[in-house]
Amino acid sequence: MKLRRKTFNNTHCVQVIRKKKPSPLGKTGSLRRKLNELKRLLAGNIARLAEQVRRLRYRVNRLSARVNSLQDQVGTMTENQQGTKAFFIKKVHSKITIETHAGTIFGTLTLVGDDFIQLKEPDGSIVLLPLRNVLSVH
Amino acid sequence: MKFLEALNTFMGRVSEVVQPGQFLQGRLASASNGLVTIQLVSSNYIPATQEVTAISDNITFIRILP
Repeated sequence: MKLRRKTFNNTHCVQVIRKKKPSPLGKTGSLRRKLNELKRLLAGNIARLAEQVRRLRYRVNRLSARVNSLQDQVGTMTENQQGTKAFFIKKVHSKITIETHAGTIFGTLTLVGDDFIQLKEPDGSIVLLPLRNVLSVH
Repeated sequence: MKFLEALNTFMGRVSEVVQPGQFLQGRLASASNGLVTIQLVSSNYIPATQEVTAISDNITFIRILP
């Protein structure tokens, strides 16, 4: 029996095996599944972040309320000192007499600090007097 | 400006530190953290030179001599 050589595509090469084309419907299905998974993942993350933001907002509001309350308290405590400072600021460069527990000081008011005043006495001495030690002012 | 900060500008000057019941005269050495240190000049009451630290809250006033 004579063997006849089979030729493919008019060549003697090995038969070319063509891959089967995947059906378009299958690929879309897997893509859609992946997309849905991603959507679920993102939705979960967004929900978690929204909850964190809500909690942080609540904490910030509470801390702001505390800060405001503390500011009011400090304001009440320093109200008198602010008034005293304002009184002395008006008298800068004028001659004043101040009564203290240690006696009377007379001089020209030269400086009003945060918690003290500075006077220049007639002999050139400089007196630094904490506001809390001022009994009265003439 | 606070009391102690202003006092720092007069370091080394001869000063009088007046407190209730006490009078100190000397050279200002330091003023910080609520404390004022002066180098006392010798006098009849305190013959030797010594350093005294006063608590700023208890200082009535300070006179810086010319």
